Amino acid sequence: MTGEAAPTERFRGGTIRQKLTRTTTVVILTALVLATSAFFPYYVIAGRRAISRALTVQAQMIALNATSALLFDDDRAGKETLAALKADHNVIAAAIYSNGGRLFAAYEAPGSTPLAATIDTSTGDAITFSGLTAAASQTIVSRGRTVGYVRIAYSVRDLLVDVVRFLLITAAVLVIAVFGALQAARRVQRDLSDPITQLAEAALTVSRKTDYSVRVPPNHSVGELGMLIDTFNAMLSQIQARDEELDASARRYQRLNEELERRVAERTAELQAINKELEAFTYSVSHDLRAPLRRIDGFSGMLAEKYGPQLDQDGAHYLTRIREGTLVMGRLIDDLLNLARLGRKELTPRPTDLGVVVTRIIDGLGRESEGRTIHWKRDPLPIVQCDPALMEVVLTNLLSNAVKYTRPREEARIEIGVQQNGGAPTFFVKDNGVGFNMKYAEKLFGAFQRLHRADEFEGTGVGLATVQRIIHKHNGRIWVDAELNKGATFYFSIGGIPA
Amino acid sequence: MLALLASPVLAAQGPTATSASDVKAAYLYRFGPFIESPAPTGAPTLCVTGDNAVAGALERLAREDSAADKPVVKRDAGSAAGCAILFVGHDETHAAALLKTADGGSTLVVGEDAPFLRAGGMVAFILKDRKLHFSVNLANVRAAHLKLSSELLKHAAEVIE
Repeated sequence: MTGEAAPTERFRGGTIRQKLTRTTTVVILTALVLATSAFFPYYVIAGRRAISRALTVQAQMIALNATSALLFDDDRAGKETLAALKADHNVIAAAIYSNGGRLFAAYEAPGSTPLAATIDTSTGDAITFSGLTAAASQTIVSRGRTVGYVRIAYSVRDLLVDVVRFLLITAAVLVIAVFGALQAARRVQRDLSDPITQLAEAALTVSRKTDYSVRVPPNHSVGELGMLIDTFNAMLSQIQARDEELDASARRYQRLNEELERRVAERTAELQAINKELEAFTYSVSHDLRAPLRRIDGFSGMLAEKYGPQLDQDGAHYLTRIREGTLVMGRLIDDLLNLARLGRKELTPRPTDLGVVVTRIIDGLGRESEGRTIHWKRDPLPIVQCDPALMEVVLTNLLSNAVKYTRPREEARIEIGVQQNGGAPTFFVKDNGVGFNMKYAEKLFGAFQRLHRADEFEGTGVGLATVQRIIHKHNGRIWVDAELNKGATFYFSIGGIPA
Repeated sequence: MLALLASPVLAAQGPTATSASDVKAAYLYRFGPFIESPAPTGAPTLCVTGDNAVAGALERLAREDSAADKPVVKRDAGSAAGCAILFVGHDETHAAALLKTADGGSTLVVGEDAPFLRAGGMVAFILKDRKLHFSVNLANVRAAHLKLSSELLKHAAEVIE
């Protein structure tokens, strides 16, 4: 794009004014040339005819007046007759000849050469033109007899002057006409070209700056142009209105968006506050429940110890149930406290060898796996940047779950591995346990959400919720792939913690 | 007389028209159309007396003239009666008497030399600058109830009122 050229420069053919001026001038020139070429010959012919007529009359007058001079041999009278020609400055020379063709009387304008002394008498009455001179021959007749001849040499300079004057007038008319054409073109320029130029400039401004506020000044000197300008302005007004409407709606949407974001932020803050409150509440409740529970546990233990033998079978059974319940409740409180603590706890990440962690956990699971056949398959695990205590909680939960839900299997297979596919490593714990239906997968990580009955598989329903909490704190992700009675695989990744 | 011979007009009148008489005759012959007379028109009569040479020349001119109303020449006229023009030559001894015959008539009386005009003549031939001219006494012309055209008077050497 060359861009900045004026609108008229980019198009060939010149402006309207130039075109108009050219056309008008050509038309005028053509008309004048045609008129001149038609009138010029006519003018010359008419001029010659007029000269012929005048000259004939003059020659006849001279002939008439010279008759008696010839009859009475009065050359002085002849000269006087000829002298009358002085009045006509076009007469170069004139002479009267006797009927023998010899000079009788002569006249010549000052500075002109006189006519010949003898003439050819056979010429008769005629007007001849040669160059800038016309010659008249006239026979003088008296009572039927030729008594002499008149010759007049006549300058057609006047005709030439007339012709030159005619040409000068034509030229003057031409100049005036061309000047008029220029004026007319200027006026048409004002009426036609100016509005068009304004239109073009306005259109350019609109297309370059997308400024729809420009308007072309109304001009009603030329109907169609005025209409075009009005329509153009109306169009701009519509576009401007639509543009403003669009802007307004965009602003409205932005406001709405901001409002929404603000509300989301508010709601999030509210939720966070509630969550914090909830955690605090959970913590304090769990903490406060511990003291009475410890009292139940302590006194029920002392009861079993001191008065156990005195209790009958039923009493001993009830006491055992109380003791078990106390135990479960203690664990539940511990779990809840852990979960609640997580909300407040800051991560203390450091490079951790997960393999060591896994070994320690498996060793710790020895009591639970007693008397069972468990095939462990372990990939070598990398050293990762994480909070080691929390990551031990994660892996303890996942591995103890695997051991727990493979209990019905004669041969349990538990696999601990890692997948390296580009980004952060994905760890997984896979078992061939009872699995579950994937449609309940979402429930899995909620607190107190259990897919199995407590008498089938013991548990508090807090473990996976804790796991998910820890993974999220590590900016990681946890998900599960499972099938009922075929086992489950828990995947997790921890990312975003600098090593 | 040499100037007369050189005159192109008179020379054109014919090969023999070389004398003063011929010139006078030619003038007399041409006066006719320039005279306005109350007398009935028709072929005018040119009367000559006292100059046989002029008479002869006139007769010759009349012979050569082919016009229908050409003048009639009358020699040795004893009176002006019936004459349109009466030429009184040098040889006429009774000029005064002849002039008397013209009184009251409509005859243009032509004579020789200026004194003739004072004696009652109307037109007189005079030699001036070695060329033949004529003078006119208009009073005498009017007395004869005649009019001479201005075209003719224009060529007169002298016009006496």
